[in-house]
Amino acid sequence: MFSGEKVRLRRIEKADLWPLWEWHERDELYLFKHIKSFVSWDEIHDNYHEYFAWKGDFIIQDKGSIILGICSYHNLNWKNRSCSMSFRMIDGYYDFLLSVDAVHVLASVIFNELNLVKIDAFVPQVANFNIQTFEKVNFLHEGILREHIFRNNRYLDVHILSLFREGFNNND
Amino acid sequence: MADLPNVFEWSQDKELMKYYDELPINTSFEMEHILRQNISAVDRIDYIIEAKKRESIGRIFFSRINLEDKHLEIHTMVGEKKKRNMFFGAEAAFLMLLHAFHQLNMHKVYGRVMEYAKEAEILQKEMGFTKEAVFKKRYFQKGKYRNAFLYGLLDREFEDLLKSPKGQRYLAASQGRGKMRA
Repeated sequence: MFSGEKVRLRRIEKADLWPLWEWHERDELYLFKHIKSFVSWDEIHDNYHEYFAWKGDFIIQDKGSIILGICSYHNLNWKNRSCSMSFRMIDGYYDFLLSVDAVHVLASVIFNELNLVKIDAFVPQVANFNIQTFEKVNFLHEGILREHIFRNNRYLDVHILSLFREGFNNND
Repeated sequence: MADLPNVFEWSQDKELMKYYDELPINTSFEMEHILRQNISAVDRIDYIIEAKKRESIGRIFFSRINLEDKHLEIHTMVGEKKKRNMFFGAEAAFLMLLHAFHQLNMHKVYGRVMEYAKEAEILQKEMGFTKEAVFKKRYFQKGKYRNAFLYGLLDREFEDLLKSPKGQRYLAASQGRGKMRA
């Protein structure tokens, strides 16, 4: 478990699957993106160890164990010493104090424990809250991928942001 | 697998491989393993570029094929030193773009280019790609972190290219010279 000022990050447990699945049914979570479409709840439950084997996915919770969202690092590249980061807050917890703390804790793990030097984030244009959160942790814009993803019957641009180890303030 | 000797030989060319973000491949066996993985990958299609006399001169492939968002990444690699000029790369890329947009029904094709790959950058611009992002210090090559650019081409932009005199020339040329095979 990794702790910040306001949040903790912990591994996804089997008991988290049902609330995550319900959230996914409403909002389409990136966590389930790699799982084939139209998969049943039973299948997810039975294959938990296969689907959630990746150690880079975390539950964001407050200090009282209320689940606030999820965050992850992925696309880890040891040669270039880089990875990507994603996060999602549950409706009702769109609070910069919480999201910034969560992203900061995860960035700290990536730089100080995994010894990587760069983090990328690919954020759809509609996710303004996520873009602003990354900006508050000193992520810089590297470009906009035009019409790169298809959501709700339209193509959306995707913002690329990145953070280097030297641009990361460990004391924030 | 008949192409394995050529593909392995190209992978040993350090001058060529500095343009690609790949780990060094040391044995032919290792390359065979990678090629077999590539053949069975669902998000990838590989081709060999052949010149007029059916000699293999390079590789061209799609990776990260995303059927939901309808985009993919294109990679062009002309391995034969004597054939490393604009013509072969451009014609091969044009044929692949036709394949991506007119057969696979993609919405977008994109490609990454190392900052020092000037010819590749010219090729992307020649095909109508737009520079969308600068990946700062993204790839570790020859002891340094290097910048790279991401270029993207949308389906409607490719159709505009096809209607232009330049596109018409490529279309005519591609039907008469050069061939590609899987």
